[in-house]
Amino acid sequence: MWTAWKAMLRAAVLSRMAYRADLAAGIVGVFVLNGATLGTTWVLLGRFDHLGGWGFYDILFLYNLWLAGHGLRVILFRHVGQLEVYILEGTFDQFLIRPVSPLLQFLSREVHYLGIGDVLVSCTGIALAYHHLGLHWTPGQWLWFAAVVVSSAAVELSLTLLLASAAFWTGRSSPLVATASQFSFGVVQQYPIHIFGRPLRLIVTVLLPFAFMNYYPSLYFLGKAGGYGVLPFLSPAVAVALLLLAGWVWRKGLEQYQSTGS
Amino acid sequence: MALIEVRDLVKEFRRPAARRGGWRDIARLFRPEYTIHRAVNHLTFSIEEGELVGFLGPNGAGKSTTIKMLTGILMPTSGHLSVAGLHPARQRRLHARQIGVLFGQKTQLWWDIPTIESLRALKAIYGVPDEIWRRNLDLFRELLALHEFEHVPVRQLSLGQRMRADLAAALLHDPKILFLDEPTIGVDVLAKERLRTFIREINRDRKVTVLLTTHDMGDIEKLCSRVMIIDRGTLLYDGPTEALKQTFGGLRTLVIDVEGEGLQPPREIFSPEVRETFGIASVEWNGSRVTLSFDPRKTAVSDLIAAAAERLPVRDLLVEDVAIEEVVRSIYLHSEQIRATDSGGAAARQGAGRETG
Repeated sequence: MWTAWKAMLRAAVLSRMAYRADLAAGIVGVFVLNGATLGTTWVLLGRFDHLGGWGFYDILFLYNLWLAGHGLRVILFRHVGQLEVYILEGTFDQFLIRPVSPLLQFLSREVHYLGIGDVLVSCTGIALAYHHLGLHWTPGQWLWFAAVVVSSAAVELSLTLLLASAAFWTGRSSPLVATASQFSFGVVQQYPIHIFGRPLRLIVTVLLPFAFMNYYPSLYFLGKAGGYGVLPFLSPAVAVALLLLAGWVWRKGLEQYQSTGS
Repeated sequence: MALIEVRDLVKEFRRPAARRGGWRDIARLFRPEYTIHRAVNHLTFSIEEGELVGFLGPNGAGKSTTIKMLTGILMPTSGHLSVAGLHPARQRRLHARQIGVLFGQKTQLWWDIPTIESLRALKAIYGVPDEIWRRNLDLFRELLALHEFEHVPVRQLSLGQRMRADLAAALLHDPKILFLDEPTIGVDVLAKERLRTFIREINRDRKVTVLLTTHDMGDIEKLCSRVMIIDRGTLLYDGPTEALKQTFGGLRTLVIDVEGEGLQPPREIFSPEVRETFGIASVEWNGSRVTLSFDPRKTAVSDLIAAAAERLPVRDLLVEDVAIEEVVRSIYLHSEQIRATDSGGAAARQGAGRETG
């Protein structure tokens, strides 16, 4: 299985390399895009000084922790939300006639270097925040940070996969994925969620727990964890639970697909 | 036991019922209504090891659905299905190792990378040992001229080359059975010939059992000793390709070009008595061309030619064999007529019901 995965990933990388000219443009684009978003926050905080008790560098940390997880997810799994296209175009059928897990084949079908830009930006942003906030992490804390970044990527991956799998039943899932990701891009990405009302907080904590990508773990790193109980430390557990759930739904979806061929 | 065993195979699809408008549509959000469409209807057949079978049928007849069940993509609704002792969908991964599949409409290869890189990825996926990899690559280079385009990305290949690349991909892991879904679709005459030769050789030399679907009667005539014709999910014919011609129609045609333009059709030349004597089924006049169709079991061609030469100023003659295309067309047409009568009858019954009710 390991060799098969490596070979499929290699094919995906080679596919992407066929369009090398996009690489530079893509990475530059990511810098511009993220710069613009952060610029807006900077202007906003220049006026109001802080957002729900969070200063600019707190927000910078929050944003870039999200971006690190998101970028990691994008490098390997950006196409996961496009499951419906695979089904529609018949590409999905070929996963079923090969002696390797269809999920593994789907996950390793594409890579996207846009995510590299995201990861580079996030490293810069986190370094800046680390410096300005005067943080001094122990090796153990660095390790925990790495685990949080990976969990963040896993949370986004599994939520996307979970929603994209709806295509097995309905044939269409991209509107669902797009709507859900609004809670990621539009809410948890750059705002500390305690500034929002209870319903929205519940959505991004329970229903679509994107807040475990950055908000909750940030509370610990920024010394604001008091009063939140275990929530700041739950990201890896949430990630594992979501991955298991997504895997289960995928299997159910596959059975459905094989019986309807929709 | 046969290599492929299919007994009473049924595949039904649920489709959302047609809209009716008003409250019923809203109610259906909560309780969906479906109509059941039976794509494959109690299909039974078996294929022995080493056979090369053609699978024919009009669009929507159930060919693809059957192929998808045989390859493990779809789960049957009911019935028995076994391919080399395995259930394709339930034992999907084991099954995948013993079959090769080509979909003419859709490549199995990575679109943007050189063909050879796609094959390398498949080598890893199937765990093909190095010596078999080398042996097969040599074979594909020799018989499919793979070396001519193996470093070109699939998206830049001609359709004929793409089919060759896909055939190589389907055979890389030495499968026992090869499923070819429209392997010559859109391919030019020369490339078609090359593909057919290769398929024939693979079947003969390597004992690979082949089931292929096609709309090209040339594929059937040149490749398949046996043909199965399917429509509305059931088999209309299953037997030797040769026998197909005799069972259905079985008429040959004699085309005669006569001297002189715009000759008046002298009906008495082929009067009912003459037709009866020579077993002539039909006569067509078209300017200076006369087309006779006749039953070769009743009349020797030579007699008919002699009779024609006596009566007409013959300039040129051509005897045409039964075109399998014609035979198949008449089977499809026949099936369509039955369908029309069936649904007409159903509508009539429904109408009657409404009157009395």
